[in-house]
Amino acid sequence: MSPLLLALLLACERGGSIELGDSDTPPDRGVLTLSAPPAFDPVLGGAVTVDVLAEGVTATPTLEVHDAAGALVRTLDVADPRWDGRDAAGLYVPGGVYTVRASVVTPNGKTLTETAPLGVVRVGFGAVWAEDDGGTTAERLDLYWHGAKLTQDWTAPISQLDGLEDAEGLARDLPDVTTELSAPTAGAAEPVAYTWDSRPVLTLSVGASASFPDDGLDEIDVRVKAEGWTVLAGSPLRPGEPVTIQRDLPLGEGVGLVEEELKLTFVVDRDDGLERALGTQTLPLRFYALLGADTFVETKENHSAWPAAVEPALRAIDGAAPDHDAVVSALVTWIFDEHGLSYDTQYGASAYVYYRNYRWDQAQFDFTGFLKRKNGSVVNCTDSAAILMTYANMLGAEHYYSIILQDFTLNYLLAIGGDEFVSCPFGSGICGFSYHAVTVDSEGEAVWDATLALDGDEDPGSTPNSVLYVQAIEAEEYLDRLVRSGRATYGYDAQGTIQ
Amino acid sequence: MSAQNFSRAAALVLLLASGLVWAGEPELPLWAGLPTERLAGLGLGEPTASELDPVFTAPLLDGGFVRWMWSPSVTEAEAAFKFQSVAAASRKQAPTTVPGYDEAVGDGAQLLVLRSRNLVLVIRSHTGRAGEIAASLLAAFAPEGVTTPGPVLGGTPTQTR
Repeated sequence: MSPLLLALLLACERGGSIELGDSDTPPDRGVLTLSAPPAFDPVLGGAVTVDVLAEGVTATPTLEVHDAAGALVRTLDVADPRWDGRDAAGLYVPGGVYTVRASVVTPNGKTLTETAPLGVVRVGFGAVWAEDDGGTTAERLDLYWHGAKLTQDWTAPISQLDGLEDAEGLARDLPDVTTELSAPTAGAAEPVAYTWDSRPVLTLSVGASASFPDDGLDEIDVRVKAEGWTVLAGSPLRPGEPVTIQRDLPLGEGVGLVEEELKLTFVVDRDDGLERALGTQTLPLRFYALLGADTFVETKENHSAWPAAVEPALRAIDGAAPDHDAVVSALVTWIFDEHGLSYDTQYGASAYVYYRNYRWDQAQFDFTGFLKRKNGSVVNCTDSAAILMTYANMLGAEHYYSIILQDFTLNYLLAIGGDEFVSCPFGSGICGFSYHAVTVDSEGEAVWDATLALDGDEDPGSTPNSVLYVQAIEAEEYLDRLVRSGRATYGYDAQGTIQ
Repeated sequence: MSAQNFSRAAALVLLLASGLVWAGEPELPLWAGLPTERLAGLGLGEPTASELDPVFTAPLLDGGFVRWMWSPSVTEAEAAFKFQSVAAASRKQAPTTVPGYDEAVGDGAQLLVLRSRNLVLVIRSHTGRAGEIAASLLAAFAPEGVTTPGPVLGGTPTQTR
């Protein structure tokens, strides 16, 4: 193909022009072509490169950027035709449609000029809300900040920025999720709780300093994409209209903790039908995938899930099947093996629980103090039962403590924090409990116990012993394995209160 | 709870207890409070107040804890002691005698559940100081009707009465 024909084709394809000269002068074969993307975000995506091609000329083309009024904004280096979105003084220009103008003088003295529009936009999200659709696809659950004594505010953003740029003028991602779990942290995002099978819905609003279509850029549509999420509304961006996105998949197949860094990519369509990415903003997210809302019988603000409780619990039991028994059983293993607790082998005294009004069914659990291990890590059955029951109910597994009374001797057992089976937990000759606290399901038919493991073999009254975690053991079997002699009876199934 | 809040809570307990009607005809006045400044030197950490009851729990700095529970009358404290004698620990406790206290169970060193008038204490000391702490606490409690320097409440100096 001849160079002339090639130049013609290129010029036509790019919408540019070609100067062929007239019949009285020698043909002027100079060709100038210019192309630019429809828009760019200089802060989020950095400088844009324009394509300049001059053929059949010896002069060096000039390359300039003009604003909508025609004023020169910036002269570019044609050898490195990039524009960083700043004016000659080094300041970012306002959003709007600018004109890139290339000019060159041909050997015949004619000036060839090409222009291309170039939009300057500034995009980025400044606030994110977690939504609830009543459980149809997304059931959001309450969280309680126990250190601040307040329930998470659903009308407040879970993540927000006070400006799209930092002090150096660089684009900011949305903030990391807080690691402080007792109270909201200024400048950090908050975790969000949903049922495990929810597909969370987020609403995102653009930052105050954003500049995009309808700010004079009507022909430029900035769209939003997020891998693994579907944009439900608000794309392309329009001033004052939030963007709504929904996770494509449920949070999981069971309970657990889901942390992800959502990449929010802003794109514009090019004339050739392809997309051009303007840049990406990261949104760190942390979801608590719970079995359901808290299952405390008493409706009380501080009975909702505490981040300080459910987050470590969910990390520990991540992936547990979404049913009561599986969740509570996983909690037993976690509490028994990984909490660093040990049984009070001298007296079995309760460090964090007392019973109100002299009643077994009115336990008062200092869960706040326990999380700090304020009274130490030596506990008794009442403490362990309260710990297990509290975690379970905050995760949505309805659970109760139950008191086994009174004065009975014991088969072999392995106490929490212990390293050997004993039948006399308080030392030689002291081989019984005056009472023992366990936890049960709502029917009281199955028992869980985070204080002790039992001897799981056919003869729990003698050695050798095999470890049997108490996880959904039928109530009568539990007593058969625990009690050597004496009358032991379940009673007072209750939840008590926490603080 | 901060020390200031604890001071206020203690002051509230003092004020509430001071308004109680005598139950029966006790020979001695009811315990009305534990002045905050007397906690110093007992080896206790910062107490936690129950949000529901006049019950305080403080860690022992050398291991263990102390819980003190106020009742509005001696009769109710007797019931509370009887219950706590069983519920405070899952090892069965034997009665014991501790000077100055009306009733007690425990070994006197590592565990004590005690009652003095309208007050019940549970002391679990991992270092065997339960008896020593019981004596110190008994000396620290303020009886009803006895004026003691109290914490400042609402900017106004307060006393037990």
